[in-house]
Amino acid sequence: MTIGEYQSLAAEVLAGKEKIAVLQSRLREVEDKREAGRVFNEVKKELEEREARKEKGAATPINDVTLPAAKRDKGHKHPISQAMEEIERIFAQIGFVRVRHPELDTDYFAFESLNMPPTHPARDEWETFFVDNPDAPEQKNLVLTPHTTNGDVREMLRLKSQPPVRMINIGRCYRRQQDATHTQMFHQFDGLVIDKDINITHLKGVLDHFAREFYGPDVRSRIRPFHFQFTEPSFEIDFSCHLCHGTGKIGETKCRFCKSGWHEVGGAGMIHPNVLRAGGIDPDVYSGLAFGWGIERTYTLKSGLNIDDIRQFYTNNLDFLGQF
Amino acid sequence: MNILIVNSWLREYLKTTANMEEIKEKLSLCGPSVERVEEVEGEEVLDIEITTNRVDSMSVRGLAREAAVILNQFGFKSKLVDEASEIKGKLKLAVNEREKMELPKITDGVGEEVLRRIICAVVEVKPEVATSEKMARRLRQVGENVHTAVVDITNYVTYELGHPCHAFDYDKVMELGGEIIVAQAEAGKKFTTLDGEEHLTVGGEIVFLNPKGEIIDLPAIKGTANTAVDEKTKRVLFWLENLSPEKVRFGSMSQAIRTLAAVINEKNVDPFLAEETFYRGLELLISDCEGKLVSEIYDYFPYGEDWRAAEIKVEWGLFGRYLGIELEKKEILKILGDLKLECSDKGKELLVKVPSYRADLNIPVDIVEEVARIYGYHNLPSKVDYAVNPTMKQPEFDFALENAMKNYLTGLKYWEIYQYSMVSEELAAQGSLPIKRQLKLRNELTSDHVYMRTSLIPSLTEVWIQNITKQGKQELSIYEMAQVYIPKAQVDKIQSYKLGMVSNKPYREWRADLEELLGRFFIKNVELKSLAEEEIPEKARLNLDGLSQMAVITAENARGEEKKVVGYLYEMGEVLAAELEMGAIVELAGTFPVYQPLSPYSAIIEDLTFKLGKNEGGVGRIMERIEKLSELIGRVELKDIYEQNYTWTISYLSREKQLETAEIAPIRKEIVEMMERELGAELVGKL
Repeated sequence: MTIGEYQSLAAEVLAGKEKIAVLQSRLREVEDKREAGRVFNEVKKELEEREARKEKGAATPINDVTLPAAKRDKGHKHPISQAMEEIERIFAQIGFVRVRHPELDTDYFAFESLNMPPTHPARDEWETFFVDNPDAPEQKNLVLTPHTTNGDVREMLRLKSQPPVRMINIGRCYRRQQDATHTQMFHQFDGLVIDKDINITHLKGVLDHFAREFYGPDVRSRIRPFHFQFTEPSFEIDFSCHLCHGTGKIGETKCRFCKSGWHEVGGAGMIHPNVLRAGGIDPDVYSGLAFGWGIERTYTLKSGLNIDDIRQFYTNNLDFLGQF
Repeated sequence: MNILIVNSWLREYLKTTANMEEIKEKLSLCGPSVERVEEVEGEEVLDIEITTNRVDSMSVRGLAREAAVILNQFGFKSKLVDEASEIKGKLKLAVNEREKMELPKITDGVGEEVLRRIICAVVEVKPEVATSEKMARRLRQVGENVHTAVVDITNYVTYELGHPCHAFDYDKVMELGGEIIVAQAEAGKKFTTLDGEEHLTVGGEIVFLNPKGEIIDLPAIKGTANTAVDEKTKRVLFWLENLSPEKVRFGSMSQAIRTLAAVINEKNVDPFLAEETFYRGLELLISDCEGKLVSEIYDYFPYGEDWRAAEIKVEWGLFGRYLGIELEKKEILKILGDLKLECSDKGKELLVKVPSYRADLNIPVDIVEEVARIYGYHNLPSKVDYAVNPTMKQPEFDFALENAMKNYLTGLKYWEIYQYSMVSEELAAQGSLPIKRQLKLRNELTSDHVYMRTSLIPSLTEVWIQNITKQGKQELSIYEMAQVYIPKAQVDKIQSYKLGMVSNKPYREWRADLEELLGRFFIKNVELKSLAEEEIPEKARLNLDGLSQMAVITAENARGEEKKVVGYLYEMGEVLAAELEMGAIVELAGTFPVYQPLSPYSAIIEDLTFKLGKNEGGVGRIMERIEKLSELIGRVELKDIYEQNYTWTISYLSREKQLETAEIAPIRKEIVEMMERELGAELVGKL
């Protein structure tokens, strides 16, 4: 028997026209025993695999479509990563480049360069963690950054003080606080645009773009006066409630999701001239806008998500993470 | 800082056609943010957030002043009723020259930079008089306790007009020496505040001393017990001081006394306001406590009228530059005028004279902000019309790669974990450096988050252990991508970005995950080499529980030009943990391979099984040696392991011609001989 004939016989076995035992018994008749052995092994393996698939219910008629799905292990990407990726994509559409600046930083970038000298009372609002560095015990100014705004002056310097600057800095922040709406570690993103003739209308444009993309086409943003040392003027940012569309009412009853029609999400402003100067940029030539807010809060405002305790993001309970 | 404002109290200062809901909405759009309106004792009370720079709004009148301007802009007819400034002329000394009480001697030991104003007088009061019902109710409505009539008046006027004030027991001050010396405290001096708390000075706080050097007040922050008014006080030394905000903050923070007075005084409250508040307080002491003014009025104000006659020049063009629209000059002037900012048009520039209470207005853009917010941010258009000139990216990070890696790991059944960067002492000890050499929080909040982690593995392993038992899983793989922190003198070098993976997949499967993950970015020739502890760099040497083996992982870029350490593997019983250096991966990663021309010929593939005697250098090395035996050996893959039997699938391929079975016989023979000779391995079966 030639190897070619043996292969034909193998094909018949695979087609179900001949038995595997026949293929085995005729193995010794083939001249090229090595090759025939290989063919036989392949056929045997194929039939075994078919049998295994059959056991799992493959290739049999579906008698019961209500049968549940087979149980299979899965991996999961953390919801914060999913939110970050979405934020990155939304800002990339309008020319923002994502960066990552240090979480452990000096007091200079976290506060001083942002127009907050060491004794300034505005620093109280950031419950800051201080860090001792055993490699440089004289360094008393190390902090875990309480906001991603520490990247603002860093970004200006990274770009050698040469606008345009269009940054989205997404990162971890830390504050000395802990309850249902605050965790010691959380995430923020800070946006920064510096160029000639940047004004408040551009800030509104950026915020509206984000609101529409992240929450839906009907959602608008609004800015209200506020005070930050590093921006002038400074704003609080609200997004309109997706349920009541900024009216605070559904029919005659008060909207239960937002209470007032708007959700307060973060801060923004036009960069203070002193901050531009700290970044080596001339405030008489360039102007800039900046905004920033927490990812956990932004994410949990998504319609229908229904997470009311942000600590869950960091308990690493697989029952929670498995839902994402 | 938040302030509660009672409706009826506000309306004593603000006449407006707007209702509370309208006040809430419009104020929030253009000024202080009204967080909620609540009903307290049958009346609406606004809870308002005042930003730290606007201490002038931190009172009933201050808020009324702001509200009047904003509400008018929205078409609600509104007016500030300001009678507080008119009291001064009406008050007269109630006794003749001979009966007049002498004021204590007041000595400035700190200079005008620190002591900006003192204003005081002695008032005789009836101690038995109780606080009026209206005043008591309003104080309760804003969350203040009700005390004696005198103390309540000091709190009431502070709320109403915004300058903190104090009432001393005049007789106690005179008994203690009749002198008030304003001084910087030495360190280690004891004092007891009026609520009985004992304190020790750290040195440098501003204090009032008597001639013996005893502390008789912590000015601008809190009174002391030795001079405080009580239910027997007959003569009150009614007192306001205005100190430099830095000094108030220093004293308040170093003593951890955060009273309303301190919170206001540290925000640069207007010394002119001291006078108005003083007269309003005096008026109430006289009317509500059957009081009599029995001394001269002492007013020490070294700067006098020169205090902050600030002028700011603003180029007209600056308004348009920030607003993005052009407002008419008339409109700008109207808004600034409503805000009591005196303006004069100097051609190209606008000269703005700032009232003393607006210490927040210092630079031209501050004036722009005033115009913009009253005009209404909601009235500005919204657009993204600047040219998009993206900036260059950071070379050390590749976010597209990170996202793709996470997606790929998800497909490989890994769960992503986010953990705190700060770990407990116990986990820190399993990190890479002795605990004393790790970065540590100086003011940790909880004991489970104290040290900055030197590795992702210890805490990730903990999460793995917690979850594998709880979930009843046979197999679990988790990962985290985050920074680790190794102390360095240079701050920018402390952090490095890592991928930590913990899994109990069998080694070969785990390794397949690793190679596929890296291979997706065309990183190839992944090699692992077991290392003795001393061969591992200190920063990668972890003190993990149950650690049985450590190995270094190296890999090459697509062109094979660059080889790097990409991480380390840690074996702990059945648990495999790896920490990969994202920096090295980013450097090696590519978006395309080096293309290998396809051979028109087909490969001859066969399996060879050897029984291995000794396994020196590992199976990986053996396979390398087989590959090197002939040009015609294309790939060598380990197919199966059964006891000591190892089966390899070997493919033979020539790029020049179709190989015949006969041509590979000598190569096969060479493989078998090499295996026998060098490794004592025996072929299973026959050639």
